[in-house]
Amino acid sequence: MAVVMNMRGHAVPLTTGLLAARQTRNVDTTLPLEQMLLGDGTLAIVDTTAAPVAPAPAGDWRPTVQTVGDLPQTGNTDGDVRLVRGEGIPYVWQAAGGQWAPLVIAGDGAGGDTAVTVDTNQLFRRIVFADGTDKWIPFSAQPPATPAAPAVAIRLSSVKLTWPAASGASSYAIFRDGSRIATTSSRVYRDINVTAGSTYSYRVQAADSYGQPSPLSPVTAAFVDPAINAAPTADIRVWPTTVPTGGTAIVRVNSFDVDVHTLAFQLDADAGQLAPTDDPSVWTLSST
Amino acid sequence: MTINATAHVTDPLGLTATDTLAIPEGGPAGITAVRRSLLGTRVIWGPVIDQGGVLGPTVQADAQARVLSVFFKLQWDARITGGRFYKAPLLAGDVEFKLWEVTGTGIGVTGTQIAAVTLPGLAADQGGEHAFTFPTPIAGAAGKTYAVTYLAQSGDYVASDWVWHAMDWVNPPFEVPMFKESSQGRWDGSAWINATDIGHVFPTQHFARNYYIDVDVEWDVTTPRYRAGRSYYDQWSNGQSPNQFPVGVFFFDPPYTADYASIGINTLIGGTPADQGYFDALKASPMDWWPTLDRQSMVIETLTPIAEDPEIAAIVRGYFLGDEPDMIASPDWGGWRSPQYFRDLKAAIRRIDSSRPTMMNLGKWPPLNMSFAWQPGGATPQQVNQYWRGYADVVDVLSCDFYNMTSDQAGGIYGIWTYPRITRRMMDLNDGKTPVWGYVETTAQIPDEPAPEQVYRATWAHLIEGAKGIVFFDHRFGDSDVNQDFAALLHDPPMRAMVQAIAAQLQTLGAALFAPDAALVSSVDSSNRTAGPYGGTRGVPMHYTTRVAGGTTYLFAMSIRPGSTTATFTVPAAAGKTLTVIGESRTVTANGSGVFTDDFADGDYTVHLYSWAG
Repeated sequence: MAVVMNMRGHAVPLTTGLLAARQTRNVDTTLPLEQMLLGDGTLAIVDTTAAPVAPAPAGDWRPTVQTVGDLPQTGNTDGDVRLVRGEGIPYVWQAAGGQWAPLVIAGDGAGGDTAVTVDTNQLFRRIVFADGTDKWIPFSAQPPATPAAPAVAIRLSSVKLTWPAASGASSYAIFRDGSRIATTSSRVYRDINVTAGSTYSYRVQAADSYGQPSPLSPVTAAFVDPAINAAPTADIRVWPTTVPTGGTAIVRVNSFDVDVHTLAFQLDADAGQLAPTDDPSVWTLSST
Repeated sequence: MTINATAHVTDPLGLTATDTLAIPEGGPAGITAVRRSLLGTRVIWGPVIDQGGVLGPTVQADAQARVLSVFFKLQWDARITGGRFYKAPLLAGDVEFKLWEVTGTGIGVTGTQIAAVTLPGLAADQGGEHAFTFPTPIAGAAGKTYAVTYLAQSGDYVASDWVWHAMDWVNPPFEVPMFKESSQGRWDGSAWINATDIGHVFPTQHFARNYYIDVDVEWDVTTPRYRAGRSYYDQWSNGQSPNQFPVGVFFFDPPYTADYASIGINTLIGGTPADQGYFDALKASPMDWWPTLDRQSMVIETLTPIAEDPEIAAIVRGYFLGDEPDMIASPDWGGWRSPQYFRDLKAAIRRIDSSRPTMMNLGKWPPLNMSFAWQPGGATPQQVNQYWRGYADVVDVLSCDFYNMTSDQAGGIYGIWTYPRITRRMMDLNDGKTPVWGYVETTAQIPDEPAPEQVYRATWAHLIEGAKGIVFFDHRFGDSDVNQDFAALLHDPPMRAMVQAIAAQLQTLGAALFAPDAALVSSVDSSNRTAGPYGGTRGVPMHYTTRVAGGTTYLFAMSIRPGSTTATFTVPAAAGKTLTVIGESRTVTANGSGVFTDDFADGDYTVHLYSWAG
């Protein structure tokens, strides 16, 4: 279950800004990630248990520092970080050696990158995943739509699932009998760990680019019916086509059957000498 | 006589298929002699040829007669048939060669002469290579050491100080133990002796020197060897190609399929059926496909989509088991994989699909006969050769990519002359069991290299040696000088035009290229024994083959060192014939003895392709 909260964002990729702040301030990296770089350029502990607020009143979280010239000239500690907006293009600056300097933030990585554009009014919320990891995402990002039930194509050796695109999805998780078995960015998945005679139930769950999951799709059942098994083929080929006098030919038993994983080959000859090789479908045949 | 064979294929649920075949017996004897030269495929140039930064043998002119030698051990029984030596310019007259069986190991070995032959009446000239053949092949035994010596009566010989001193030289069944020295003396490597008063005796003074003596051996095998022809692929019910000759590109991306096909590329090496993009592209522009299948975990996922799509199943010719396993050491790339890994992989494939051949591409270390960090760790020259032979033994088609034509290689020590040796080295690694395909680079990290003409010449260097497929490597990796482009030739009009021309030419000549070497050239002489950048003594030898196909005889020839020369061919089968020089709008005429002369002066590595009726 995701815990959702909000904060006012800024143009600096949030993780970059956060990491930059953590690095420059030598914060204890064991602290929880709710220690955030806020829009006013300060670090703050965000109450992760607070109820979602959407949207925050405009201006509540606007940076208090508007231009470089507004940066405080006294009382700074090396490593202090401030968000600066000049001509609508803010940067993160940091104090070092008593001076303010642009912090490496984005774009080409150079400080003071004028190519960086930001929306200081963007809202973010934090989602926390079941495994304890979390991510800050745009507040407006909604989970994908529920996928349709997957269609199945059943073979003896595999079940191929296909499903239509779910709105807002960038990846899909495949569940078999309630357990996640794979994640894919395509809309096709082949389950090769099936046993003839078994029935499996499949569901698909979409996720957006932030990892927000959709509800699970309806269930599709797949019965791997042994009766669909078709007989393999067999085709003997010899090279050279005549077993040379005093020599040996290679005898291959050709077959192609993907419905089972392990064809067994047997070859008999009424004359000459057959010898198996490390290839289960190949023998050498020596002349009589 | 007929042998009746019956096959049963059974799946795990008990369903069975049966096939029978009456196999004729008889015909030509099935014993094939496999031949091997101690140094013939050596590509790494320096230790054999390099002397103080000057490429080429160093000529020695001593005041007294010398016996020069090479010592070697055989790893399995083989007949020692002769060899060749590089004659110093001033060495003239009769030159005697002896084969010795060496007794003992280490310091103080002794030798017993077991064969001898004399090359009579050699002339003082610019020097060069001369072959010798013992009157009868001598049975060599596994584990025994032998020495081949020659007597330089005038003290004129050639040598290099840079061989046999750093590691064993292993080219199975040959093994030359490296030169060793202790306070007790010296042993192994090569040896010489002052022969002024004692004649052609067993040499006892060991050195880390190469005296440019090569040795030939042969041994018999009874299992089939691939010599030529397309019928090899008929072993597999889905293995035969409709194309006249394979002209492929290594691992291009699906969006380029149609464009490659439009210029005549008919084979894709690599790519995966797990990518729907390949399916869509190849169905729109069908070509032979050897998809990558390099791990057992991918077998079912790779083979099932192929089985489910008849259009794709119709073009999948085989499976590409691995690229450069000799190069891969990093765990990030899957780590080093043993030959057994690939045997197990092939077996897993064949238990589902035994109707298609397998292919592998080796990297540069086998031709160099060195190893990348000697993988697996601590491997010896003997072990890495066993691994390479193991790789080559697993698959049904073998290739090697070692790109040597650009200026960073050719301007140093390599060049197109290495391409036939690369192909031959692959043929040697599995003792001729499979066809070998040649790789040619069409791009590089050097701007405007290689030149289209180089690509043409490198292609023919492979083909003349007997390559049965050509694959272009078209990935240009970006750096400060060039942009990354994984379909480089498509975006380079001159290169595109050249590859298109090559593709068309190889389809036209496919029957000849698949034909065996007809051995119709009784002699060839190259006038240039002095030109070229490699020390002035190797000259410009010829590289050639003759083929017969469809009522036409072909002589494919090229100069195989930098420089110009005039070649005189003697081809009795062409006596009195007018030969068409393919693609050059001219003819040459052979005299009544089949002798004709032609210039190979259109830049380095000039190619001429001759044909005549009959």
